[in-house]
Parts: sequence; C-alpha cells; structure tokens
Amino acid sequence: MMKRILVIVVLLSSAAVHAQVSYDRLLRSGAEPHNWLTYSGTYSGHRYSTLTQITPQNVRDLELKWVFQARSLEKFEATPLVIDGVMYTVQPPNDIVAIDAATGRIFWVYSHQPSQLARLCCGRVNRGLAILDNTLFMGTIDGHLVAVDAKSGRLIWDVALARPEAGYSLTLAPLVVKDKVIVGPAGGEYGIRGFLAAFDARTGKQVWRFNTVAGPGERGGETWGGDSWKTGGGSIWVTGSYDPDLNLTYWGIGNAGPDRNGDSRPGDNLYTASVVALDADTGQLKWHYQFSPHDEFDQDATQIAVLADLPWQGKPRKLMLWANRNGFFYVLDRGTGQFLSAKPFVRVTWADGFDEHGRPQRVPGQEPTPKGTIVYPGNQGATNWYNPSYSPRTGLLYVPAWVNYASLFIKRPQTYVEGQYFGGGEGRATDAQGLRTATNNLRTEDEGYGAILALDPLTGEKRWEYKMTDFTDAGILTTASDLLFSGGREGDFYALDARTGALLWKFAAGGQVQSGPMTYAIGGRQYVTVNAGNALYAFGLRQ
Amino acid sequence: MSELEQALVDPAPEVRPQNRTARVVTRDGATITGRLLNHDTFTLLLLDSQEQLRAFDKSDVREMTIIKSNPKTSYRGRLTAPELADLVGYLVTLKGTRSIRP
Repeated sequence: MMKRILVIVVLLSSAAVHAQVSYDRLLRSGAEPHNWLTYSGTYSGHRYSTLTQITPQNVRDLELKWVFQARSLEKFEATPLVIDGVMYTVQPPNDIVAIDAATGRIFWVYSHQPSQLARLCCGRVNRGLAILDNTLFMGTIDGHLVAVDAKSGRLIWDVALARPEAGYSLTLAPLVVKDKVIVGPAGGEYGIRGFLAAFDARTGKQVWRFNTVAGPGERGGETWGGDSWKTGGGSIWVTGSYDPDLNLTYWGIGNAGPDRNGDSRPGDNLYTASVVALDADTGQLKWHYQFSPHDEFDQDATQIAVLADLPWQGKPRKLMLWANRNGFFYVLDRGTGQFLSAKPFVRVTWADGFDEHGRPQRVPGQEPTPKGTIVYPGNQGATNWYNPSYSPRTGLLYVPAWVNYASLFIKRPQTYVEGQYFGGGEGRATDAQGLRTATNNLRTEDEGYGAILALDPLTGEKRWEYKMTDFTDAGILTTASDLLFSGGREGDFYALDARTGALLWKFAAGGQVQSGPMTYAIGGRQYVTVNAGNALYAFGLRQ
Repeated sequence: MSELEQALVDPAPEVRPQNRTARVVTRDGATITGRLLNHDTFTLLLLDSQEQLRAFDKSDVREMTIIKSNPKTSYRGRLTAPELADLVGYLVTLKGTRSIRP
C-alpha cells in the first residue's frame, strides 16, 4: 500500500509541475498528498496527510534536509503551502517567499511594507497564504489583502480592508472557496468591530460581508447594550473550514471587547466567542453556536473547526469537533448547529454544565473583579489558535493544551480610545513564572504544563496525554502512518505514535515551535516541516 | 517594614522561581543538589553546590525533585529590635556581584 501511494505521488509530482491550482484541486486536495494546498491541508481542518513514507518504524531516521532562515526576528507562525515542488510561506511580518521545496533555495520574495500605524496585541505575525490558480493571497498586519502572482512574485491587486490605526490587522491565512477569498481582521484587544468578508479572487472587489459583532437591525443585535457593538471585538485569527456538500464555511470568532469587563456590553454579545456557519456564496448566516456568552475571560473561539463524518449515537452524522479555549471539548451538528455534547478537557471552574440548548451554566462568583478572581483555565486558555489535528485512521482528535493552570482575572474600568488597548483589566498569572515566554523554564507540573491530548471525539474521553514541562504554542500534524508531529516552547520538534502517545523521535530546534507542522513530497521523498524560532526546518528520511 | 527585614522575620514560604533548587539522584546513586537553571521534557540544568554547571538527561536519572520551599527560618523573637536593625543595616552594605539571570 505504501509503495502504491508513493508511486502515485511520484507520478503526480512530475505530471503536475506548474499546473494551476484550480478550485477543483482545492476541493480534492486530499487526493494529492504530495502537495499542501490550504492552511489546514484540506477544507475539513484535519491537518492530516495520507503520506506514509515516514512511519513509526523509520521515523528515527529522519534527518534535517534544509533550513530556511527568516530575515526577521518576529514570531514565525505561518504554515507553508506546497504546490508541485514550490513552497510558499510568509516571512514575518508580510514577505511572501517562494522556495524550492527540495533544497530550501529562494525563487523570489514579495515584500509588503506594512504601515507603522498598525496596532497589534501579540506581535507582527502572519499565519500563511491561500492560493487559487496562479495567485497567492496574503492578509497584512496593516489591514490589507494582497494578491500576488505565484510565478513571478508580482503584485496583482492590493485592497485595504480596514484602518490599522484603529487596531484592525490581518494575521490569518485566507480561505479560498470557489472564486472568492475570505478573510477577517484580528484586533479584539483594540475595540474593533469584527467581520468576515469575501473578495473576488480576480479583482479584489468585496462580494459579501458578515459582521461578527451584530449591530442594530441585524440578527443578534439585541445582544449588545447601547453602542457597545461599535467596539465589540469579534476578531478572526485563523482560517475557516468549509463543507462543500453544505456550501457552508465555518469560522471561530474572537472575544468580546473590552475583554475582562462586560459592564458596558450587557447581553450575550453575539457573535463573539462563537462559531458561525455562513453560506459561502452570500455570507448569509445559517447558524451559530456561542461557546462563551458574555465572555469576560478573553475566551476567543479562535480555533480551527474540525469537520468529521462519524456515527453519533449509532447514526451517521456530519459533526463539528471543537476543543475550545474555554476548556470544553464540543461536538456540534455542522448542518444545523445543534449542540450535541461538551466535556471539559482540562480543569474548568467558570462553568459546571450545560442546559439542553448547550448554554453553559456559569459558576457563581467566577467572574473578573477589581481585586481579581482565580479562574481555570487561565488567560491563555486551555488551547488557543494553534491547530489541532484529526486522524480518520485512529479516530482521535489531537489537541495542543495548557493543562491545570489558572489566572487571576482582574476587572478595571475601560474607556475606548482609538488605537489603544481595550482590555478592561488583565488576566494575571497565578504562578511566579507567569504565562509569557521565558528563556529558561523553571516551572513545575503543579503550576501547569503543556500537553498533547488525544481525545475520543464521541465521548470526549482522554485516550492519552503527552506532557511537556513548559506550555505549547505549536500545532499538530498527523499522518496515515499513525505519526503525530508537534513541538512546543521548549524548542523541540518531535514525533509521537498517534495511537499511544509514545515519543518516537525528537529534534532540538533551538527555538520555540509556534506554528503547525505540515508534510509534502517531491520525487517520491516525503518531507515534514515546521517553524521553530526564526527558521523553517525541512526533514526527510536518511537515504 | 523593609524587604530585608520582612525576609528575616517573615520569610516567604516559597522562593522565587529563579532561586529554586533541584535535587537529582543519578542511576549510580549519586545525589546532586544545586540551583535550578532550566529544564524541559528531556533535560535539567543546574549550578551544583560546587558551582559547576551540570546538565542531566532526565531519562538517565533515577529521581528528580524541584524544591520551591524556602529553607530560611524566621528570626522573629530570636533577635531584638536593635539587633535586627543592625543586621539589616549590615546586609544593605553588601553589594555583591550581579547575579546571573536564569
């Protein structure tokens, strides 16, 4: 079987050189595993590859093939695309780089010089690109969407979506569906009014727009008091998923603003901390589910929606799997948005159950106060933007998690001033080392730790846990040979047995892994890549 | 109350993270204690009691403990107020050298 897949890969690799990436190819991206055509690999958000050359038996023979050193000291969070031997990634903040995926040599660089007016909570980051035909699409930290020719690196069009001085930035990899490019802005800590918008891939003209903070007259507008919707947040950080059968695209929406003081925004504050299902052609809302109504814990639902068709209570069902920043693992019906189940995957103290509609039951006293309230999970969440992975072979959902830590949630008065932080307080670490990255790790397990959790999606039960001593900002890749690749703040890139969690291989990359790994193949040779520190590493088997 | 005086009469139950101690027992039974400098899933680094920088592979050690508790005992009731003031005054004169920053 493995040989057969490799032969197919070789044939496809040679036959498809420089072919355009049609929408049809994007739809069937799983059928060409030698390429990586979208942020998550496929529309379903699995970050799973059917390549099987690297196995649990030979993974110890992985060796470094090449390194791309970014000319940047910013966090390197992009997942590359690979199309027929050419890798495209984003050197932060906003340089598109075309690289020979076999050698790491650079074909060309397109540099977007972002405005100095950009206001960013968490670094000048970018998480990647999208492609359609011969055009690459990149969001920029100063609120632009640009289209660039994939052969030459020449700018095709450049559209300004929003005002960077007001805190709007684009950090996500866009999503292409049919002839449209879909993006939305980050900026939930600056009082933006978030949105999702689709643009004509050829012209850059806006086709539709959906406000992630519902205003007066819009469905959900009644969930905001007064004028609070104007600064309600609802940011977009990561790429949505797409179900072509339903023609629905699914997006996780960020926190309400101000983050930790909801006094000025009475109500549930739709559609913050929610998932929305939109018609991909029109942007019309089909359904929504709000994970954290009236969020005051910065519980952005900025995770990848994982789409899986599984038997639910004995019947086949189109499901959505979602391990949320708020500490609960959810299963929803992705056709209707029906809440099916939720179960904590880490210690959770802010809610202790759900009603029949899936509304969380809040625990009295668990809310930010001027003196501070200790709440689990802590301010960075139980997980965050870094991607999970779902393996159809093992049937498990793999989640990068921050386990057993809390924050002191402090509420402060907040006045909106354009371009200034709009947090309404802070989520202060409860241990002395804190939540931010440190050069040296002195943390003990009782102060919290990072982990890969393998969850049974049908029960929410934890099958295994791989512990790290420090927290993790790394995504996860799984493959059809039952390998799992990930990393963490410790600077190791490693492979686990996806069925057991056993460590099989590791590489000391010398810098934090703050991206999701991906895999591709050229000439019958499988590669695995990851960003660590300010470099992109490509590994393959020793010949 | 000054920080030094507080540390003498009412020491914190735990030391700051940068002052944590690690105790390692190797497979051959040797026990090494020192200031924890760094650790990850696989390794532990410390400055041992002989002021040697040491690195350990966690898979090669039999036992490893990170000690957060403060070994200092309180001088409350053991020193008179003037003695305490003298001691604090003396300690303030100690400039020391700049510590390394783990």
